[in-house]
Amino acid sequence: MENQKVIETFEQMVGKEFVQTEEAILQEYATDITGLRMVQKHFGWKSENLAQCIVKIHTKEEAIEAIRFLNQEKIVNVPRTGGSGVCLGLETPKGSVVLDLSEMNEILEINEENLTVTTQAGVALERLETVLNKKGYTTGHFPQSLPLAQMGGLVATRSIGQFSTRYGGIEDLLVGIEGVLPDGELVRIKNIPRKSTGPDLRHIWLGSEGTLGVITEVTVKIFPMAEDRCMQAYAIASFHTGLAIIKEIMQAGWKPAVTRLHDETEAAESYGPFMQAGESILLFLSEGPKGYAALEGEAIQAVVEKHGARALGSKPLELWLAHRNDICEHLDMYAKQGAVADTCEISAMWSDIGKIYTEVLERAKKEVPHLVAITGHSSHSYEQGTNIYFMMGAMCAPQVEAAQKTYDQLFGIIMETTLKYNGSICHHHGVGRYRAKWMKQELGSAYPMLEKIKTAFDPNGIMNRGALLPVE
Amino acid sequence: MTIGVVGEMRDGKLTQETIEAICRAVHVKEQLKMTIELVLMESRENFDSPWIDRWGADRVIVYERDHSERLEMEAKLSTLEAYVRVTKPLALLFAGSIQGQELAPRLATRTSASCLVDCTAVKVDPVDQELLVTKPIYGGNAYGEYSAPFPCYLSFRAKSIAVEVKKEVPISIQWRMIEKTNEKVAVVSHRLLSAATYDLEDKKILFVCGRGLQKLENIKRVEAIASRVGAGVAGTKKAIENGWLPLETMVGQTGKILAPELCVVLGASGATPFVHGVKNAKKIMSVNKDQEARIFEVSDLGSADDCESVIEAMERKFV
Amino acid sequence: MKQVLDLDQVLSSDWIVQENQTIDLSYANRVINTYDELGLEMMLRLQDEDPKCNSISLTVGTEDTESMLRKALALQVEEAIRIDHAVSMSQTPQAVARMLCAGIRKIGDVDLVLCGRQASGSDYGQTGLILAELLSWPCISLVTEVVRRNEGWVIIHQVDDGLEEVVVSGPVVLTMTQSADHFLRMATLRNTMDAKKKAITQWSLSDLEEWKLVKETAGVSLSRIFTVEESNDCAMVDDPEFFVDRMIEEIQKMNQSEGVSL
Repeated sequence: MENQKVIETFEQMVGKEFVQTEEAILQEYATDITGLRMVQKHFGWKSENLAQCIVKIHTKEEAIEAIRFLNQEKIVNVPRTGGSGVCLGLETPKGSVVLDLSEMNEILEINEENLTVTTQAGVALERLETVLNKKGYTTGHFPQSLPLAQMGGLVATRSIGQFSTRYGGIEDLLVGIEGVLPDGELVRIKNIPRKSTGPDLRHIWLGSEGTLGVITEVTVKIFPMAEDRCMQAYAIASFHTGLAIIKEIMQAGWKPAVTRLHDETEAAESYGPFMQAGESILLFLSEGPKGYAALEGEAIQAVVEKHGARALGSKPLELWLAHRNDICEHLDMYAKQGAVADTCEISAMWSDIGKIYTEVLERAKKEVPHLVAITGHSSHSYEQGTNIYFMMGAMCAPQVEAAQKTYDQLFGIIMETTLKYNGSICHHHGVGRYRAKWMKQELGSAYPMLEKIKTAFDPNGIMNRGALLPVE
Repeated sequence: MTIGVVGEMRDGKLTQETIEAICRAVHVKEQLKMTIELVLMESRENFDSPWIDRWGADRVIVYERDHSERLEMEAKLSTLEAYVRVTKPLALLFAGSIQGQELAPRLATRTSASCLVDCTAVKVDPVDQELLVTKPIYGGNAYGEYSAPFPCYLSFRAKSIAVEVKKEVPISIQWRMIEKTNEKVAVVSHRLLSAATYDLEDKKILFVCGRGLQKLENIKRVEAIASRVGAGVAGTKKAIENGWLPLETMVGQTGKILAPELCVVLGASGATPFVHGVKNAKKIMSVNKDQEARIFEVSDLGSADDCESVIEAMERKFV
Repeated sequence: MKQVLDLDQVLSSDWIVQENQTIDLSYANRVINTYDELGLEMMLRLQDEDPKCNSISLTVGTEDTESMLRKALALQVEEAIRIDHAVSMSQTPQAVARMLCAGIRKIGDVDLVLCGRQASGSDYGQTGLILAELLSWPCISLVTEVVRRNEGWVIIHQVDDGLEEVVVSGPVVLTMTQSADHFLRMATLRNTMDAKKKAITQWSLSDLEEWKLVKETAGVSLSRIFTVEESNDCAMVDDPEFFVDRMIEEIQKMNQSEGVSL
């Protein structure tokens, strides 16, 4: 069907003022906040693959009608809420339709008996958190994208927050969910604490990245706000010792809400006056019901002292809390300073994670010309392993292609090294379009499972085509 | 004993910063029993004397310059040096303009005077009979009070004082000649690349856009609402860096300092250098999702809501 | 260049003046003064254009300021010089300008001096201007860009009337302000490593002939520092509707006093 007819159909469906075709807006919606594009925009990048229109969805009935229509006409579409993805998950294929649910943003029910909250997909996490705080509750979910992200996207990308070591990632927080399947069918998974009724269908939505349907409503856990907190920072001579300390704490059964290890470059950058040369920094924040934080804090102290760590007090944690989301602006700054920079998070078992960190740094320093920095930190830990969040930057000529080349080289080193040591190429940002090319290697023999799910749900291949699974 | 006020004129009138400097001089004069001499460097063609007599100066000295020629910095400095030699003012107050902030320290070095610029308050120390001058330090997060021995040269931050109109008094105007400099002119040429706009300074209502507005679309919506009520639109440093608004709309310590009657701040957290740009507004109403945001410390009314809800409400009500 | 504290890091609750008239900012990182960054970038660009250009970073400070000079060396500045003297909040801009002037005369044959319009700390906004006077050089303030053309400097700077381009011949002092378009480049890891081995020239005040010659003048002296508690009597409203209603009320009040209708 030709574009004009498509646009007219949507204008009839949702109203003329909710269908956008202005080029400047289409350019803004052409991508998300992936670091590569933010840099390239500085060098003049503009999308050559604009959507044909942005459709603002306000009700689930509109969502159903829209998706049924798109499926019928076999038009590629991109479901979108907060737009804060960082892996090109929202980059529009040419002529696609963006389904923008950011204005479908009602908080439907706060259930204090069951400790849940139900919201429409377009509810901003920051707003939800403010509303809950007023009643003495929290979602426990604090991704760096908090100022921008909305509930639908947070579920679709399997997001995680800074306090996850206590509260878990979104997969631990999701209770029930409603969405529209690619053929227009509305499905709801009811709220239950745990059940054994076949495979957990919520996990089809969690991490689907818009490829298997459109989320319309979510129910997540809420927690009473913690009664007290214990914050302590430590300096440690080596990054690897830091990893060993975290492993010991996790395997003993402790779960400090914030468990972070920053390597020497990051430590010097943010906590310079506290550090001695070559030291990494450990940040621990414990919180919970009365008495919990102090108990956990003491246990942590015993472990770190055993490994020879140096206590730095709570000030570094106060600084971290105040500035933890500032970096969102800095990626843009690097572009202005002539560098292409971004982050890349991976995860692995304890036996492999240290090797990945070391080898990535070695390779980057050796292979990437004009490398400005390569650093890493661990921010989400488990009994079996942890993640490493790499930050990398290199000077490049102020051209779109030069930025792409350098970016691909840096990212490629991290992907290759991670896969070499059986790690996972993506801990929490999602695959998007950028990492789709590594998915076959990532899943190995399990890849056909994902393929079959995709074909079963989206036989026409129109849901966010290009994201999650590579297009042949 | 004399306090000199080095003034500036634009479009035949004293600039707002000059008037503010005269008002400062008036406060000091009352405590030290001095006379105020307003010093101007202007051509007869541009000189328009109405209103010079209502701010509190006792005398006006005008150094006549050639109407067709631009007056160079060096000529201004030499002229003021001559003034200082003749009059030996105890203090010289400069307009809080870019020019004033450059003239004061340079002249002070030539004439061995003490100097402070970007000041926010001055009082007389009754014991030592010298001036105690306050100015922001640490990026405006704190203030320093300095004792400034005479002779001292000061320039004050724009809009840091409310001007008072005094009774009109007859005022003598004396014309003198600009000092010609013999020095080789190092400046070969100038041209103005873009003219400053004073719209924002004149607007009684101001909307300030911060990073919390999140996208260009929202800035455009605010601009549409602003034009409906005749308000100006300014941006924080972050909004400018995002390319949402031009540099000359930047509000803050190193941008514009504005004092509208009503200032509506949308999506700015209230970082200190920015706050200095708007805190002298008569009424400040702010919107920021974070109820702990510092902007609320200087606001009269606040809403811890997201900006989009407020923009929607404005769009509905300002039809 | 001046090494300053990164004030953005400081928690708002830590702006407290202690009994000894200081504020504890010990945990803030040491960084290059933001306006000096633009000066440094402009100097590096001039060097890019003309490799024969001899670029020097000069500071007045104690040994801990050498980390800043090493950053400049990593960015390929040719020489770094430190005049050994502790700079404090009670220092006058005249004193520092005198030291810089003596340092520049000792370097000799300098064609251009760039410095920041002010430095966070005392924020005097005078040092560069005084330096120009001591050198008897012309001064252009609030500069955002400078390039060399023929034998002169083409400078873009802010003036009260707007943005002006000035062409200057001969040596000149520039005070830099922020630019919306130009930012300091980053140093590669390799260059940062190499810079660790480069020598930094150190001069004491007794090495500076000129410094002893210039007369001391009475300047300002800092008598106390204080912070202002903003009165927190902001009325908070829950409803955006209500917020906008109050806005309209206020505007109507303003218009009434002027006889204008909304």
